[in-house]
Amino acid sequence: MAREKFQTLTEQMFYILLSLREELCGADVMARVAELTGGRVMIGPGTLYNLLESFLNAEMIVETAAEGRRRSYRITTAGEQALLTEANRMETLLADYRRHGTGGGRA
Amino acid sequence: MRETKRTMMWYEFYQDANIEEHLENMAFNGWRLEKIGFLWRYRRAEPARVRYSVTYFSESSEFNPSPTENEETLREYCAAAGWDFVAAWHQMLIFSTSREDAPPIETEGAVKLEAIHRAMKKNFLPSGFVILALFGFNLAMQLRLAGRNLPSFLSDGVQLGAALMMLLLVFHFVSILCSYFLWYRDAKRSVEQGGPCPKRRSRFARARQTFLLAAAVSVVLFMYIPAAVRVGRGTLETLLFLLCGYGFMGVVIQLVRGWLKRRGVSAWTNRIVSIGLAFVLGAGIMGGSVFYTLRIHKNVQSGGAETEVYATRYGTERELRRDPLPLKIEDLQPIEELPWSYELTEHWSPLALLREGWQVEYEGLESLDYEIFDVKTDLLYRACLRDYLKTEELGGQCRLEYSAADEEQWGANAAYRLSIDGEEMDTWLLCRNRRIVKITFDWTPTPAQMALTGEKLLAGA
Repeated sequence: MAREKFQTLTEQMFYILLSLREELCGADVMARVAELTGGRVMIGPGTLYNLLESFLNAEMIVETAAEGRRRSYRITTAGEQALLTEANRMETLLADYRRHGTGGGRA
Repeated sequence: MRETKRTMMWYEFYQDANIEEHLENMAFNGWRLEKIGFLWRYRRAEPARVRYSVTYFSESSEFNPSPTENEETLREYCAAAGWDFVAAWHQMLIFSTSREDAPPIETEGAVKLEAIHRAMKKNFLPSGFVILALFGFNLAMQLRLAGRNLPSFLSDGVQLGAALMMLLLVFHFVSILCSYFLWYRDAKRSVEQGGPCPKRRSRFARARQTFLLAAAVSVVLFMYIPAAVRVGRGTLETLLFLLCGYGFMGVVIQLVRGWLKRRGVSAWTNRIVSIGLAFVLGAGIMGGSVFYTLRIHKNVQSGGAETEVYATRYGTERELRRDPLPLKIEDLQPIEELPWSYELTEHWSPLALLREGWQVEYEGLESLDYEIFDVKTDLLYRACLRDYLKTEELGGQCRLEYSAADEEQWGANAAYRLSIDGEEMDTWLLCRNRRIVKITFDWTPTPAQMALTGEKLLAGA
């Protein structure tokens, strides 16, 4: 069920997983994603909390440390696989786009 | 100058957009939300443009002694994003920020929708369905009574008022549940297409709440209370007892729940104690109302009219009443000097008036029994006449039916006579304008007695 849910990743899911290639505390993920994307992608705290819970349940991330309520996470192999699948999907999209020419659309 | 202000929250639990707008307007006018309960408490502050965000978290509960670990984690994430926690109410969490750059708390439609629906399934939806089932069952019982005896139902303001109250409550819960599921369907469609999770906003929420409140107050003021006063003081006392009783119950449960929370008692223990307390107090209030209902019947029988107690030769005691009956047996024929009781009972509602007259003597049990039913509209008159005329099967053996009789003898517009298994009885229905009289004699009346009966009982119709 969880795999089906994450068959494709949204932008926010993608960048959360990408940011967790280094161990990060949950609250720091928002700042890291903003940094990675130059402020283009903003993740709300409610969305972050729910996505981290979902990734944990799907074993795409793992809790690495807990100091009180301050919990840190890191991506797992399953998470890396999801990132890779998504990257390949986007590459396919891009390749298709380029193969069919650019700027050829009707106005 | 007041430093705090308490107001009712008009919006439903799930109308996050309306609540956010309301709180932002309050802050702009110098009132910041401080605490949520039965009333929402605001504290005076410098007027400012403050952003509010309402979010829902399934683990939050009114019974939790303190926020759960996960709720604390969510609050920390919100704080890191620039949102300050303001207040919590059931599964609703409210945050505010003065920062322009703070991102919305929810930034992904599908995730937001899932979180909201999970929180709604925790409390709002199950409790909504349970309450709807209870009120719906109560309404169905009331309508069943109406189906059995429509004139009696329509002329009992207390019962009609209770049925209307149930109808209003059923309407309220059906509308909020439908509204939620319609929103959920649209939101699901939107996020499945990659769109946002739409905010829940109802332009008619306040109008609907105002209408419901006004309708409920009108039912109480113009139907329940006048009817209760007409029946007797006992009924009004019962109403007040029920209102005060349930109000008291609500306050006690709130206080106990708060006290247990402060003592750090677990959510489950607190929930069980609160529900147990509700059952015990609810049963006590119901028991009390039954006690008062019995008093009502006693009051109705005594009626405040002149009464005396009579011991029959069978060794039983009977109350003899002297109510002013519009028609007495002695108006029609001479009677023996026996201890007669004259009993008149009135049932009133804004829609109908039912007067039940009964003259009886308890030695030979000779009697005259009639009811005079006046209804306000032609539509209801026709429905009630159908109800009076409907054929009944008693125990599958006796067939009771009315057939048309000579109305001119009674001075009526229409008359019907009862027969049981084809045998004519001395029970008639007399109709004139919007009045229906049902009368049962112990003898077959003469034409002169019929004319006099019609003159007395149909007068003023």
